[in-house]
Amino acid sequence: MFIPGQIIALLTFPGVIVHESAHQLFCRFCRVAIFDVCYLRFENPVGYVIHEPPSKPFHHLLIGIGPFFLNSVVGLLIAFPAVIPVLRFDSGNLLDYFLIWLGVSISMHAFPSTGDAKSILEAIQKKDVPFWLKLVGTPLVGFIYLGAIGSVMWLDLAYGIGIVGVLPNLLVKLLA
Amino acid sequence: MEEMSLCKACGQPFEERGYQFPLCEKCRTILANRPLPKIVKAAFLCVLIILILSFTKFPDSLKAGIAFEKGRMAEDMGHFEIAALQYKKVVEYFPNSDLALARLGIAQYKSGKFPEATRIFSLLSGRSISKELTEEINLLFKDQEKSMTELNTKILESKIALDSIESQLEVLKTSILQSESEIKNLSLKIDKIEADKNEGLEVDISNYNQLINRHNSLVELHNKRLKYGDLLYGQYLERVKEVDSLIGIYNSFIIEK
Repeated sequence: MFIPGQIIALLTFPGVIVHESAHQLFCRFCRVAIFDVCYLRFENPVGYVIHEPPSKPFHHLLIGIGPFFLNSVVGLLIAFPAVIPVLRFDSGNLLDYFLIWLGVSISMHAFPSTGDAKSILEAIQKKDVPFWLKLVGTPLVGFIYLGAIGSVMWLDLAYGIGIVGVLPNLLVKLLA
Repeated sequence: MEEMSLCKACGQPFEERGYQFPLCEKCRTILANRPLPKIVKAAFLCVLIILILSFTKFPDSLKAGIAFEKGRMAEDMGHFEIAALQYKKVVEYFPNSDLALARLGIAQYKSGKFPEATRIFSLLSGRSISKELTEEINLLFKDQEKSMTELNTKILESKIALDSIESQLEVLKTSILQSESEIKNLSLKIDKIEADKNEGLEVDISNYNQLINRHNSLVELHNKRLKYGDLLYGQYLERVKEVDSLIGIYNSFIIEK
């Protein structure tokens, strides 16, 4: 089923906001000047951060993939207390369902956009970039593109549900 | 000497190196630390408060999750009583969980606690539980019907056996009573002959010996009958116990239905 990105963004808007905030946060860590931030809009792209080119290629990579880590961790943490009542015992209250929606929305926007991938690719293709960074960055860019293609088949949603649903259940299995 | 550039933001000359975009240190710091809009900050704060609140009940959810997992493991190993105990814990935390209730009912049923299982299953009636669980419970009921038919046959067989023992005991009782009275008669006759003999009267010794022999063989037979009677009565009591327990199980099924 094809649903336009803008509608998905509307339904999962907290994820877009956290995604752009993550880019912004990593810009701050890497001391990269930010010129403009759009946390949410109903155009393509649904959000963006315009920043100066980082001084180090590694910073470029960090800013690009920052949302992948931040959205995943924040989404997981938010949904964590609600997963067992909702997914295991179907006994969640309204707050639990809200947390699940919030968690899935945030973690499904963990994948960097193709714009992020393009920007990382440009940065690591430069001559002065160390070999190890090219080695790490190139498959990462491929992975990001794969994620972007997969999002047509709801890979982003599957990832969001996976992050939110699988890990707490694994924890329960480990502790039992 | 470093070439001085002009900051694109403030227009002041600066020396900061390594960046493509010309910005002085101060302007870069300000732009890099661009604050989040108040509304975003407020939303993050709200989510944080909600998160802290929901984490307060998380330990209970985790305990329930662990108990459920332990219940599943116990069930897989065939320890249904342990499984039922674990599922009871889950139901304490999530009394409306169809899954927890169904698993509790199934574990109680499999551990032979039919009335408790029935109570649990009755709580589930009218609810839309998953297809797999419904099939599992229906399978239990099918098994139950099969078991009831088998039980019924066993009860009937045991009753027939009980009737046969009862009639054997009746026959034995009659013959024991008969031999008892015969022994009594013989004893009286022997006592009379012995009394006559003691008074010096003439007695028929061969008749006396015949009576003694008859008496002794009758006593021997009587003792054998008594022994057999004890044995039969033991068997009878065992059968009665068996029929009672079978009827008990059958009744528990009926109450359950």
